[in-house]
Amino acid sequence: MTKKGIVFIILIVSVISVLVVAVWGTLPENTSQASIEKLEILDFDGFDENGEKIIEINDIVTISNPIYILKYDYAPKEAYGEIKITISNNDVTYQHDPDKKEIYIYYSLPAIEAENAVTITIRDQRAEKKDTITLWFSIPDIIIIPE
Amino acid sequence: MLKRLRILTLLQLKNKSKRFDKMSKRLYTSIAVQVVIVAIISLVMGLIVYAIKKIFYIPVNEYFTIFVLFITQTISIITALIGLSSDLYQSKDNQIIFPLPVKNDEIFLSKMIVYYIYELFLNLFILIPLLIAIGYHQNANVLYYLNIIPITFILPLISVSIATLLTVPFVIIKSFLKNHSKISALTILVFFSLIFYLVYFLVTKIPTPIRIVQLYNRFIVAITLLMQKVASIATIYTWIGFVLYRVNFFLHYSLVILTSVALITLNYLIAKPLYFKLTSLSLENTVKVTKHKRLKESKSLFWTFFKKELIIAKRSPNELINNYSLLLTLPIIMYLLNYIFMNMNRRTLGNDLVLVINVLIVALIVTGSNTASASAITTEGYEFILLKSAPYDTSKMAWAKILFNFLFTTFVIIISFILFAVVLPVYPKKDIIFLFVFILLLNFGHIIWSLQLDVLSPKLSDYATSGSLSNNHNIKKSLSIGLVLSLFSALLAAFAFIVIKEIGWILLIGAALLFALIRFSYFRLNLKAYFMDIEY
Repeated sequence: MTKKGIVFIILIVSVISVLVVAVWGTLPENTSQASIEKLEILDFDGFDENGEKIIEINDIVTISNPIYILKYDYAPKEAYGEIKITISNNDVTYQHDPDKKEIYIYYSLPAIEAENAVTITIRDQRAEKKDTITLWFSIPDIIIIPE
Repeated sequence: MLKRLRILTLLQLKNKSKRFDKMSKRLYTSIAVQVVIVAIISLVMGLIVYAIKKIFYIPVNEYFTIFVLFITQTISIITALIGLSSDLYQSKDNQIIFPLPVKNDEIFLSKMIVYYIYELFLNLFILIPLLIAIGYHQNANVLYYLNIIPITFILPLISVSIATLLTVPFVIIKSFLKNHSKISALTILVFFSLIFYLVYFLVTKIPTPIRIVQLYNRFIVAITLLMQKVASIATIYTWIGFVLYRVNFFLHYSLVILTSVALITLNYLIAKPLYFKLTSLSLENTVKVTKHKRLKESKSLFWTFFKKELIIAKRSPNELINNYSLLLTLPIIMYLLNYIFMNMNRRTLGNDLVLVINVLIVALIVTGSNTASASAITTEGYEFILLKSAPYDTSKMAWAKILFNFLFTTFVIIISFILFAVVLPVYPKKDIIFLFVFILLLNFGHIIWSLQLDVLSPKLSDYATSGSLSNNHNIKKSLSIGLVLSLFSALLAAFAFIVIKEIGWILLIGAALLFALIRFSYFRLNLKAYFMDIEY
């Protein structure tokens, strides 16, 4: 046995011990809480012709900042939900932090360059509540030069 | 000049690896084998990237590639920095190369070329398979794969240039710390304190009550955010990534080329002129006259030997800290694990498991830190025989070593437990005190056992000739015994806390006391019987 071996064993034992206590040593999750009554995306500019939320991201998502953070909230605060997210573009991926109620949208370089609109839907599978937003890159305004 | 440079480079390459030996008959076989190795590594990398994408749900997009470039090249710069700082300034080759009819500049350049080739081969075996695997998962087109070829040659140029530039302050700081051992020891302690503070800071950011799935989820999100952020601000590596994916291709290609030229010019203007000066600094040993306090004579032989241990520790605090570096991580690991445990919604079994885990982890760290005891006699080297020939009971030396090691480890353990009790006040105080007593007894028994191993089979001549403790069997045995002891303690703790419960700590401390007493009496007998038989 070497010292490096012992350090490795300590690291492995530490990780396993956290899992062991989490699996066998904790109380079960309380899933008998109230259902979500209202689920909504917080930041948006307005609504499109279908009444869905839209936001312009030209200044937020660039090749030097490929991340968009989408914040949502639900009521009542203590409700228990099973949030599922769907995204309309394969070049855009996401990660979800249910504690912070944030969805991290990761744009790939082709997605930023193509400037396609991306529709994101968040849905609570338990109460069947949902909200949708479209992130879009606006086309530069047409400048009309007077004659 | 080019001819001399070529000869110098080949001379150093041949010393480093047989791969560069022109006469080697295995050259073609070796190339074929290496191509197969690259293919196998690509396959393995493909599986790793698949796991990252499908199991950890980390997006494998272009920014992931840039992050991979950044991380691999940072590691490359660090390894090149460590290697180059010794190869450029402290290598034994220098004594042969400097008298050769070549210029200092040529030696400097040849060493950079050697490292460039070395880094190029590393990239061939690690980075290229990784980039191929990532490209496969991204369905990248043929231009992506073609762009890998020039980048393979540019990346080592950048990493070696940065590393060479950094060697200048690195060598100056290294030689300063080498000459000021107390400042060096203080730096290490400050480093450990900063790590502890960083762990404390990060851990308090975890939302409570801790739920492991959410914790894992947040960890993965944090890693991904870090990757994406780093990738977007990694300057030259971001530009290289953009070159790979053809984003403003000519602009970013020009930026990469310009930066590489700038780095080489900086090396020419800064590192090269300082090269000979710094090499001389590393080779010349100036003798410093230091004032010593007049040493007082001790009344007993035991205290004389104990004082000797203190003086050695004072003279080389670095060695002392290195020996016990694992023990210095004790408060960090204890705090981190117990913070997570304390903030989980535990049931009774959970509380018992926490105690068992604490016994196991603390025992593993403490028994893994007694390597100095397992080599205490060996490190006396040739001088041991001179000491032993003195007309006194020199076996007291072993007791002095035990006392010193026990006092030092106890001091670190006390500090760890106090720190732990202060920063995590929710942890039951009764358990902290009992765990402390148990660990002290176990540590005492293990120190004595480790030193007994060295008394029975010291490697004096090995150490006297090599000056190294690597592959020392007593150290390996001591670590193995420590591992078995820790596992046994954990089993006993599981029985004591989960089955017996009420007298759990009494059983555990009783067992540790018995163990310490048995080891103590065994050691006394062995020391009496075998100390005089120790030969060089």
